[in-house]
Amino acid sequence: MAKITRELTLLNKYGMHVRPAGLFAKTASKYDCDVEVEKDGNVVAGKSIMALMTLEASCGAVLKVTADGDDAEECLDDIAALIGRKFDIPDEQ
Amino acid sequence: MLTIAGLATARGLAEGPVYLYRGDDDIPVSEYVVPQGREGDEFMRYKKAVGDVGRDLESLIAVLNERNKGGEDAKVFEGHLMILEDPILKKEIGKLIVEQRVNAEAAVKKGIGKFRKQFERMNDEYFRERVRDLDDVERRLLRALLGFAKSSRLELTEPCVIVADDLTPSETVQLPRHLVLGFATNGGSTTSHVALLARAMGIPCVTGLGFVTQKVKPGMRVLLDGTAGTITVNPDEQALADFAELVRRQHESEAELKDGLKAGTLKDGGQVRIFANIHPGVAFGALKDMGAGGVGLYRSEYLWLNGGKEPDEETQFEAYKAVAEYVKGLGDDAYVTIRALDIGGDKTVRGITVKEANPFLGNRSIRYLLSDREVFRRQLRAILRASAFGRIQIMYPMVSCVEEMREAAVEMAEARRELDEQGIAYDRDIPVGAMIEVPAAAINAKAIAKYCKFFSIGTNDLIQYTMAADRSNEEVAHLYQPLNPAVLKLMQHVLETANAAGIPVSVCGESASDPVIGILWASMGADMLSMSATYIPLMAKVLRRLTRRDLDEYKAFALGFDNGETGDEILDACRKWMERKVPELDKLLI
Repeated sequence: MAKITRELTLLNKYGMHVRPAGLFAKTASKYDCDVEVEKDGNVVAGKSIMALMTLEASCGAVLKVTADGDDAEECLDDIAALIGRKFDIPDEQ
Repeated sequence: MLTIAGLATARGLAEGPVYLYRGDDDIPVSEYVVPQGREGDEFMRYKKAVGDVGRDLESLIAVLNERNKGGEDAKVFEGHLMILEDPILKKEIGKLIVEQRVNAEAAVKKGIGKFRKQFERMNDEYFRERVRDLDDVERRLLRALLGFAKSSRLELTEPCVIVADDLTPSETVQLPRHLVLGFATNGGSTTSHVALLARAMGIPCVTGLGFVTQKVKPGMRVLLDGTAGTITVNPDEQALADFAELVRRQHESEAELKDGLKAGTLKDGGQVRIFANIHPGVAFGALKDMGAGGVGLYRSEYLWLNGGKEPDEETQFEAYKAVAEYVKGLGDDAYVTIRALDIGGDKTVRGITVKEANPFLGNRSIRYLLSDREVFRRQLRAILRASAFGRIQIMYPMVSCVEEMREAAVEMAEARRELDEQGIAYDRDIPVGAMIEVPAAAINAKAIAKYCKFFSIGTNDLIQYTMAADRSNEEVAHLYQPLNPAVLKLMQHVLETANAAGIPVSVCGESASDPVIGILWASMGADMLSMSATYIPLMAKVLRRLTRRDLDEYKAFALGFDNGETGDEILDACRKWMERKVPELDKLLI
């Protein structure tokens, strides 16, 4: 079992709104590990679009993403890549 | 007559009768306690409603995708589907029903209400607006539970200006577009759903009008100015005449780019080439409509990032071939510049990039390619093979020194030899160039140029490395200054060096898309600006108002600061210069 935390910076223009949060939750849900996201002391479930949106994370926000489970590493890589690609949203590149 | 000012949300003008839409903000819901032992049934009622709404949303998404492939509308409802299915929300509502025996309707309202409160407290307006998404999902669930019709419909029979408190995405998207002249809403902002969709649909929209719904009656005549952000109720003769003049001018502006003149043409007939930046995975069908003269930056690394691993040679070849064939349709002198794998830094792929203490100064891009020659060779082979199908240029990202160009040339020669041996065709004159984005390469441009058929300046990294400031870090973002004197000097040096060496030089960083900055690069010697396609029409409009002499004057102005001015002061002065030369600049900017 591995528990890993990584700090990731949101790069897309409008931050963690509906679509990015949805894509984040969808990506996290592909893995068995537990995923938690922390911003400014708020910790929420990483597999919930609603919870992620409540973080009010805008562009430039640093998220502490913690994955706990056998596939934690893969999961975090996947999420980091998604954030790095600015969620593939053409208008927010 | 009454004129109300709101927010200029989607540009354009509309004149017509009011359709006053009251919506159904309040679906009356009574709360009661479910009899003991029936909570399981009540929970099943909620689950069935979730299923019904889910199917409705899925079919709506399918319809929208059919109408507009890859469009934004459908994405909104994909988000709603996820909200509907959100595990935390479902658990919350389920607990209310099963543990507190609250009826399903009230449980839905309470469960969603809890999140709504959190959103309403947010400081960021863009996030606050997302309450509308919750409203939309809530209404769908309530209608399903109460057996109401699936959604309230706006019944339009003639072209109207829709006046409403605010509109949910469902309401906006289902409108017959040909009958909607414009939107005017009490609430909302420039980032609300009605705003985003109005802009996507090209319909004028004014939001944040306060109590406009109380000031109009159905059928009343209004003038809506989405560019100025006003609505005029019961206009008098003078207002009507002024508006007619505005409409005439708008038509002129729209017609402006339809005269067949190539994007980037100057007032005196001169030409600045405008190309598009694209990446695989995003459709490039619209490039022609936007006026792109070619593709100045094809970000090949997205083949890696999208797939999470290295794509094999065939996959790469197919992708490069597709874009090479596409650019043929953009003109006789069109081509695509494929950037070799630009990975590392903030672009990581598991199994390829490794964790580094300082990734932006680490094994990135050409450095990585030279450290894994197999990967490099496979990419070069794929690009060379594709060059038999259309005009391609190859550029190496993050070049810092001559050694890298030499080493890359060795690999290129080897890849060509392999293809020759196998009898595979490729463009034998394929131009190879360097991206200039590391200050060392900029300073040493003359030597690097000896190994290049062209330069492409990546200003994002060049500014970041010159100023040693990460622009995504709020604390230091102010140091990321595109027109800092140091950046200007480097840019001038690179552009002049390329011009003197007789090789074309383009700028493909984000700064190229800002008319104030991009046009400065052009005035200083850039032959081509490459930018996101959506910025091309604006750049084209500004350029056609300037002559080559204006550009020379602009260059002298911008390079003339020599009294300790800051980067921000220079940028400000340049913006003012441009506004003086192109007085309608702010109108073009919408």
